[in-house]
Amino acid sequence: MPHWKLIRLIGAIERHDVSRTRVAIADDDVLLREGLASLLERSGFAVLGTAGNAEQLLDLVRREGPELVIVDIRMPPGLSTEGLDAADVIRREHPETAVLLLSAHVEVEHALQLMATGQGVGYLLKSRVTDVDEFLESLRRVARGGSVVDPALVRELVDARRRHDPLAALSQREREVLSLVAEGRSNAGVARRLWVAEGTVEKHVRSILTKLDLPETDDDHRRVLAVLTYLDGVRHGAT
Amino acid sequence: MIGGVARRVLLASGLLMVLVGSGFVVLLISVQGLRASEHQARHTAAVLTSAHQVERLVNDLASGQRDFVITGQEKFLQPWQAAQAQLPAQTAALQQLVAGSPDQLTRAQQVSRSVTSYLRDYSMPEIGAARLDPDTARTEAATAEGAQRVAQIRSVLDQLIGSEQQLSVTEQRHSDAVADQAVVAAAIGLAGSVVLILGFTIYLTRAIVRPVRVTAEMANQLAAGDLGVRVPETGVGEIRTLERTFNTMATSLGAASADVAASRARIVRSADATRRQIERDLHDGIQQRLVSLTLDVRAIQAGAPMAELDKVADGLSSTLDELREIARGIHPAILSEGGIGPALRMLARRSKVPAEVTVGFTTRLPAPIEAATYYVVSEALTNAAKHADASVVLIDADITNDLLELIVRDDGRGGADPATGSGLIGLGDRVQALGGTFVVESPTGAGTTLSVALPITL
Repeated sequence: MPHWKLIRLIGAIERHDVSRTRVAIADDDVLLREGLASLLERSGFAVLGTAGNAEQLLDLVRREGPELVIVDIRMPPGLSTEGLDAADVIRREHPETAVLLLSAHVEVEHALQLMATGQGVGYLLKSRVTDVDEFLESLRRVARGGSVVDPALVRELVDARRRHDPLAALSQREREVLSLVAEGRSNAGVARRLWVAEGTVEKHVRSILTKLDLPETDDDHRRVLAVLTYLDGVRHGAT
Repeated sequence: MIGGVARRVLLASGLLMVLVGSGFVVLLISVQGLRASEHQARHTAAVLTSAHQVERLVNDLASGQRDFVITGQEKFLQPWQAAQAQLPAQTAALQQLVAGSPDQLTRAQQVSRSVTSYLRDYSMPEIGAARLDPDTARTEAATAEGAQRVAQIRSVLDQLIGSEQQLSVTEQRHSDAVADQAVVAAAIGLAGSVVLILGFTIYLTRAIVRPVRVTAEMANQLAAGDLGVRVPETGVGEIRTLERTFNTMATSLGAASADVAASRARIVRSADATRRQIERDLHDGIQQRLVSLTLDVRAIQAGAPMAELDKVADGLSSTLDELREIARGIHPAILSEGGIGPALRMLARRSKVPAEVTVGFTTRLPAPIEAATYYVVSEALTNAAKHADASVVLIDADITNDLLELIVRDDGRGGADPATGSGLIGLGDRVQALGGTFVVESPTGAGTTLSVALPITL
């Protein structure tokens, strides 16, 4: 690579770091969304605005074009899955906008529905917000186009008892790796988390995918989706 | 119309009594006639015997006198003497026998007088003459007079006998006629009674027995739980009252049962709604507040790091986890948000026994039905893990003809008794409150199958 190109690339990365990620927040609880906004402002994000329901959020997104949207799944008027539906619309209208869905409880179907909309998505329990460092890291991953899935949800899928358990073929270590992969971590992320070399993780991942008969892919998001779908699918015999 | 049946029964019984009674009266009259006729026959026989006796004695007189006159020997006069001695008593007896009839009495008196005259005016003088001069007594004239007198007595006796026989025949005919009448009357009475009893029986059957039987059958159906049965109100009097009362009772029972069912459904719905509300309050109220409080703590900490604040924040985090568990136990949010399919799959994922879920529909159903389905499966999974020692639970839910059919079966040890398991009773109550059916089959050693059918039209 020519020297000048490298300088321009570094400059771009620096500019990106300097220009803060622009965020929109939607939650019907004023205190929570203001607390979240203040946390993000302190942590180097630019909060473009907050919304109390899906409609306001869609207006905000269409007006401001945020890079990242944080949305509560349950909002007025129906207190059902308005946030999920809004996320669907945003992903359709602005595929480049990353979406992090917050939920009061974990639900596999909702997570899968969101993950199916493409990369740059995350699904977290609302209470994860309180583990600030981990939460901010998740936000950055999603904003960068990565995927984040709540560990509680992954644990529920991995821990589920199966009649003929294909996961029984996995070693304890492989199970740990599988869980972290399902949470949306890259091989490097898994390696950091387990304090092992990235190469070791790669070996584990290849072994897991072979044992579970899953396609190998370099795309982290597609890998997450495949693993989640697989875990959910073997559960209710829909494979 | 009150008293209608009783009056009819009384009337029919009275009619039957009159008919049977008159038959017996006719029979009694006839028996009386026969007895009179028999009495007459006996009387006639006595008269005839007496008359013949007199005739024989008269013959004895004539033949004794003749033999004596011819032979002149005293020993031939013995029959005459015996007859002469007996005749006064015999004729007197005859007169007494026929004393009831003036004509016959006249004849008897005539016989008596003739006999007396025969003896006094003819026979005794003849015998005396014969003792003096047998030849004069043997004259033709003397013999002829005797014969004529005897003939005259006989003639009167014959008249008496003939008349008596005539009387007897008349009496016989009369009694025959009475007997014939009695036979006819008895036949008519018998036929009438048979017809009347037959008619009465048919009437009783139609008016009382059949309606009572129909009502009894309906009562059985009612007891078996079919509250829609009604009796046709076609009876009379008390029977109609009975039928109407039965129908009123069935209607009241149906209304009361519907009230109870509606009330049960309301209670279940209200309880579900309350739990749903509590779950929302926990998730959207308390959880949000805790999260924002924790954020506040984190914000303070960012300005001035303190180890104590770290502890507070961590405590709040674990409280949030507990809160989420509690909220899920109260009401599964996924049921309201995703419906039966996602909710059952969540139950299966969290089940201690491997469970396979097949839901043949994705449509949303009324909340009470979704809740009932969820709790049935939840309880079944808990039982399979706790009691049944099952290795797998198969859950099938599908909709056919507006009916949600849910079957949960495990391969455990079976022997579950819905009467003793309070969990199963509660589920049965919940399903029945929605008008559904709940069947538990749990033969020992052959697993447990719960079959639930719920009407979707709510």
